[in-house]
Amino acid sequence: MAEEGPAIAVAGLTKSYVRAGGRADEVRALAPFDLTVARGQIVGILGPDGAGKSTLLRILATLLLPDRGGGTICGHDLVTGYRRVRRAIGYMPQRFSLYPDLSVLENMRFFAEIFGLSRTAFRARMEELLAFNMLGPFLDRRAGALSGGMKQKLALSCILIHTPELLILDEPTTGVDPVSRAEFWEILGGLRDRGVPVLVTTPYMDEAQHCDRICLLHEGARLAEDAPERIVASFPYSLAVLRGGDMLARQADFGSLEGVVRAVAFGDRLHLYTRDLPGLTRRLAERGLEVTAGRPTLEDVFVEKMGEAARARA
Amino acid sequence: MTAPRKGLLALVAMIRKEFRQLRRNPTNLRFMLVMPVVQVLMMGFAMTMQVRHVPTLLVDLDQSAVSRNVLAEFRNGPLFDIQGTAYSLDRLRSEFDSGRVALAVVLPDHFERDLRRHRTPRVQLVLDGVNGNEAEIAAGYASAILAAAVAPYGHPGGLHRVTVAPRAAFNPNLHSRYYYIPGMVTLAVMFLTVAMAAMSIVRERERGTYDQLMVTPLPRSAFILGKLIPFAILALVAQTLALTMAVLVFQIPIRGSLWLFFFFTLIFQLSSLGLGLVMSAASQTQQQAMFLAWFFLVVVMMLSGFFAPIDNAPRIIEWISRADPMRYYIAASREILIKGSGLAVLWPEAVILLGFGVVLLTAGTLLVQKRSG
Amino acid sequence: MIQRLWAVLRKEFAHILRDPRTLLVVLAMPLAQLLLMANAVSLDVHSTPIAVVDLDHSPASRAFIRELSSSFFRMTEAPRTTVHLDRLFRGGAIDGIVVIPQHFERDLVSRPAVPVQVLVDGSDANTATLVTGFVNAVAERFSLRGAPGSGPPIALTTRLLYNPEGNTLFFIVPGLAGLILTLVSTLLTSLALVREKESGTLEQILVSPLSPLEIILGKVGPYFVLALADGLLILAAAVTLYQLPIRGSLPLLLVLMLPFVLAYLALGLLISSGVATQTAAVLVSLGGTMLPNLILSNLIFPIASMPRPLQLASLIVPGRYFLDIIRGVVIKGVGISDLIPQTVFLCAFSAVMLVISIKSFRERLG
Repeated sequence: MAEEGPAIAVAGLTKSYVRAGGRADEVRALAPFDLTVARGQIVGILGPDGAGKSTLLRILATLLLPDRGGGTICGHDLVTGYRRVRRAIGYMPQRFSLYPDLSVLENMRFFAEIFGLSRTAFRARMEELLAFNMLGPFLDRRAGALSGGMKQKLALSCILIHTPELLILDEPTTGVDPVSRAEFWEILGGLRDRGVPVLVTTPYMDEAQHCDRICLLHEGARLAEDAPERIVASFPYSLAVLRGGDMLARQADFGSLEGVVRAVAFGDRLHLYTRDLPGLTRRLAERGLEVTAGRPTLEDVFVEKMGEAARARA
Repeated sequence: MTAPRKGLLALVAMIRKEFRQLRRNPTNLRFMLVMPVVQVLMMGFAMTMQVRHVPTLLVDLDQSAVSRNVLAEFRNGPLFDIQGTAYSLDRLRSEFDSGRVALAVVLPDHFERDLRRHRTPRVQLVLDGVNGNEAEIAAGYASAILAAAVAPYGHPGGLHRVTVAPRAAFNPNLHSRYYYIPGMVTLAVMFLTVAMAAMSIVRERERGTYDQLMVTPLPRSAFILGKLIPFAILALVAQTLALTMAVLVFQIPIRGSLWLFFFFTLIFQLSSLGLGLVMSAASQTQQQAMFLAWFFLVVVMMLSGFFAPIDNAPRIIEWISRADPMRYYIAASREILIKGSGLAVLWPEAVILLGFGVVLLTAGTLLVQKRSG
Repeated sequence: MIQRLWAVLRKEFAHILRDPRTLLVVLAMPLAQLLLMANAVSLDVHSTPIAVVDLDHSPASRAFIRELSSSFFRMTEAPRTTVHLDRLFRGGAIDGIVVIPQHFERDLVSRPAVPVQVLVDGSDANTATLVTGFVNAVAERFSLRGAPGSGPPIALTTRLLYNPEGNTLFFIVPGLAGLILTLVSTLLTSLALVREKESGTLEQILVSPLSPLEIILGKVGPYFVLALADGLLILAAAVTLYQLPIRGSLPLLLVLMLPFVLAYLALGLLISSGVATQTAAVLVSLGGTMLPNLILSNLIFPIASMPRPLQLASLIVPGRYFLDIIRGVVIKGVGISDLIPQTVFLCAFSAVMLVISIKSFRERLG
């Protein structure tokens, strides 16, 4: 293994699916996509459902062959060295993929054995894992009877059992309660601190703060990639926030307002992107509407970039 | 909207969903429609009890002109496939052991001489008795050939033979297809309705979509009906397809009313769908549902008189078979299709099938509801 | 490799033991099937009800009736009048009617051939064929005794090897045992892989050092044990319930059961890895194994009487060879030397199936 190289170095990955129903047109799941993940980083892939996150991760986990493109995972070729890649990584699919009729201990032992851990190594590793997954009291419980958060911790423990060089996690926190989500990210942070790179997808923008670097994915293409703060900082407009009322209905009205580049509804708030915040505030105040200046979030960046991409295509 | 109207809309939505799922899985759908056709065609060609091409060894211990002539008679016609002629009994047993021959015709020493002097030579037929029925029939054919062949050497006045003039009602050529095809077609229906419906319900439970549906206003009865109706329709289509093929390929005469036949099919489906429901309630996983369905299918099929007339089975088995709805359906469909009987004759079967249907469907619905409730 | 294989084996055993319902079904159902089916399927002519209408009432006609009733058939009350033939069979109380004509005795002396009429219910062609066949056999035997007053030209003796009484269960029970074992074996493994596909665990397993060989062997192993247990149970039931003699070597039979069971387990796995849903697996495996083994294996219907294409198709049905083996060992008492082609085929078939299922195992999704 190339100790010094990046954990993931892939370029030009593309993947298309034939649409269900067998019609001839194909759906592009992944546009030519490059990605480099250095050691000791948590890299988050953010994007809505259908953005191509799972496809990307499955290609990186060697479960899908890319139509074109390639690269190395932990120094092994993605296509020809898939067996070695599989030994080196820990991959957690989006759906809970452990055996519900086996107990916590049996699941962990099963994965230890198929990864070739000796009995003593397994015992030692168990100690370490139990220290953070807190599953100690539940070792004899069937996996199917665990809560959502515990299931995810067990799944993570099972893929950590062989001390992988890289973790690839597909939406590990989806459907998990907020407390467990926070705990889960803490665990990932601890792993990163020990030098294990983590590639993780999530549909939650607020989880980006836990990542060292994030990549915004939309329709199989990258919208932006950088440290989360820098991405937020790259937002080119000022933000005015309007509260109250049925914002979705007013989105169109405000979008065409003078000085507003774009209006986006987020729940009960309307975000107005503008280059001239004082001017807009004044104009709205004249109409009796009160806006406050807001700090742009990743969501704002994402929406803006999506719009940009759409304009570029058109 | 009124409650029943809402329920009806929910039911329609459920049925549409089921059909959409069936369409999304064209392999399954194709299999469900094609398999019965293939089954019917294969069985139609294969299922015959007629004994032909019996692998035969001729044993000529006499090696005379007459013995050769007599044995030569066995070479005519499709009844016997002559594997060879032996001149001693040495290897006889091993030929049977290996299964190379199923019949040996043994003409003794001095066969010709004894025959001419009316000394009654002892001819022996040795048969592989594992399949006793086939052996007896083959022995009958062989005796007939021998009797005819030795007749000229008998007493002056010749041999007086009793011959058999068979006459078969309904099916003069004794095509066994007539007998099996209604059963075959039924089996396809059972398979679709029982096994597939049961697995489909359990699948929703396994995947958690059942819980999802139960928190919607969809009434449970609409869920159950919505599951069953598509399979019932599919089964009807499959059955019609298979029957059409059978009629076209094998020229099965349909003597009775097709409407009556479909009526019986419908009331039989009540039972088989009910059985599917009961099995789905009894299983937690698709695997359990499959094994249960398979078990009941085979038993129901075997007890229905599909292969052999159940009346001849031991008393206990015959009694158990009365609890088998397929028995009445098979009987009725044979009566309708082959004999042309009408409801005047078949009303008891109709009543029994309706009774089974109501009981099984009710039991199934209650069990499924109890499970989820 | 051994450690990984062992891990998969142990996991699969755990799945089986954790699901007592399936285990119960798998072990108990075959017995119940054998019990219910053997009697229902066998066409036992000894209990077939037929009636005789004797229009001659002579010593010769009575002798003929004696011959009929002493060989086969259950005699029932003859119908009084010759009502419409169709109506006679509608009730289903009799399967055949033998009519001995007037002047039967007189004609036997004066005419070369005297016809006896057999009326059968053609809607059940198989029973009808059997009944006519048997009456024919009786008639020929009767003829060869010679007409009254003249000695017979030849004395014919018939010997049924292996089964002198013509017990039909000797034929049916070993056949059913083979059929049931076939179905259990295929169904057992047919869900093994697709279940993991549906639940998503296959995705997790694939991203592990497990090779297709280890996954396949690990899946086959436990079910192999289970299927053999089934085989033993079925055999034990056949012997105790139906007084089946095991004339040959039981160890030989058990050894030959191994490749047979393996063949269908591997076939089941192949199906399992090829389909996307459990329902599809069941459709394919029932359609692909039940049908051929029911009709192309000599179970009930003689292959020799079938059209050529079906005969050729039967050559690749393992059940056919196993029925040769089980009937050969159990009823005929033959040894391995008489079963070499069958054994070679089963070994080759199971090896090929295993290799195909390993080679065709997809290590990727989609």
